[in-house]
Amino acid sequence: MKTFSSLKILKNDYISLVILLSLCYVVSYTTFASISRVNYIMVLYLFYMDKINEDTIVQYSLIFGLFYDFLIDSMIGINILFFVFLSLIKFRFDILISANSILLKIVRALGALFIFNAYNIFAMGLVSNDYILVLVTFIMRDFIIYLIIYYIAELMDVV
Amino acid sequence: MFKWQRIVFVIFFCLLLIILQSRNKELSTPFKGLVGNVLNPLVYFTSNIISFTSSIWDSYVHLIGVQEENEEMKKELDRINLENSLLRERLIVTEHLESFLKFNKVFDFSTVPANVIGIGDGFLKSIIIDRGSIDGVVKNDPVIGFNGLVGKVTDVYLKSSKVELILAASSNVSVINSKTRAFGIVRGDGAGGVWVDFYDRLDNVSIGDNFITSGLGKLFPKGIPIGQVSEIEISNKGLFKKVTIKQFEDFYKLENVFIIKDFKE
Repeated sequence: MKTFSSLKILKNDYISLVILLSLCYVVSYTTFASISRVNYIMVLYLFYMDKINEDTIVQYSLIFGLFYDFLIDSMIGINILFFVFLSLIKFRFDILISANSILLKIVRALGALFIFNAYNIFAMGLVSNDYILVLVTFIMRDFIIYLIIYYIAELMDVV
Repeated sequence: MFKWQRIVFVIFFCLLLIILQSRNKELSTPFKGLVGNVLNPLVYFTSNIISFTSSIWDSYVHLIGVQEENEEMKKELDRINLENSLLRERLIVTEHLESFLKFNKVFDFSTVPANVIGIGDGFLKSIIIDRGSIDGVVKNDPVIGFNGLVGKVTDVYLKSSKVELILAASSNVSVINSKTRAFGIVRGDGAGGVWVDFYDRLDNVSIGDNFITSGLGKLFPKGIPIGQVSEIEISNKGLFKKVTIKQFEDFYKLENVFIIKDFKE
């Protein structure tokens, strides 16, 4: 019976997200170091995007933001604000265009990625003088990887 | 109707938190310490399990050619022993001359050995080691490998620490060209390499020159090797030239490092 109650806890979206983030952190530092080349926080955010609504925006922004603050060793709060604003933009998009089709969902994800990369380029630009390198690194590496992962995931949903 | 009250509260709270942290940088330490103390033991155990599994694999699969390799190693050891005894003699002579000239002793520090339990490449450029505050590690302690400078400790937990590598774009290390004695600042390029910033464009640097720490920042001791010049880029404008370095330390194969303690600034 206790096993079943433990499984119920795992079914909780927030707890499962925290466990997933922790798992990605541990795995990226040990077995699959190449995972840290992909920004798994942003990938998970894209997967959780549909679950974020006006009731859950604060909780999800806190989890993603705090973990991202810890990961990149920044001041606590900066990335919470970023995820709050990103979710607000997503709401605005959902109101303007009903994102039910796959194409619109991909457009929405691309929009989120574009904002995320712009934010990263700005943040990295503050510590590095080589803007071109930063730009190429983020666009060539992150942007394309996210796109492929998201596209595969959406196709899997359809199938 | 959208629930704006909670969001506005969170935004204000975050802004307040950021302002407080900008005045007191240590404010975020308890939170990061808490998360680090929970996650890093997991990294440690996973790393140990993987090492154990891979060591079994290595023991049984890589037995082929061990005898031949052993013979080669013995020859190499003899050669190194000879070289070591020659270098010791030279060291004695150098130390004698240094004391005679009242120079500061180079490499006058103690080290704490540590195992690397986590390597995060990608944009993070940091590693996790199995020594923490319980072993006397403090923030900003320099970390070296067998071949040269690795980085500095940025976060200290109870039994582990996070080390920012010199490959990180945010790292700054004052260096000196061992041949021409010109100074510069080594930075990570964010893509696994390092380059020297603020390097005098009139200096006669050439490919193959070695760079070592200058000791000027008082963060790293003087004389730690960094790398060798692999590319020199001179633009038509500006006061400096861009020197790209091939680092001595292979950061993707780091297993053991040394934390430097009590070095003479």
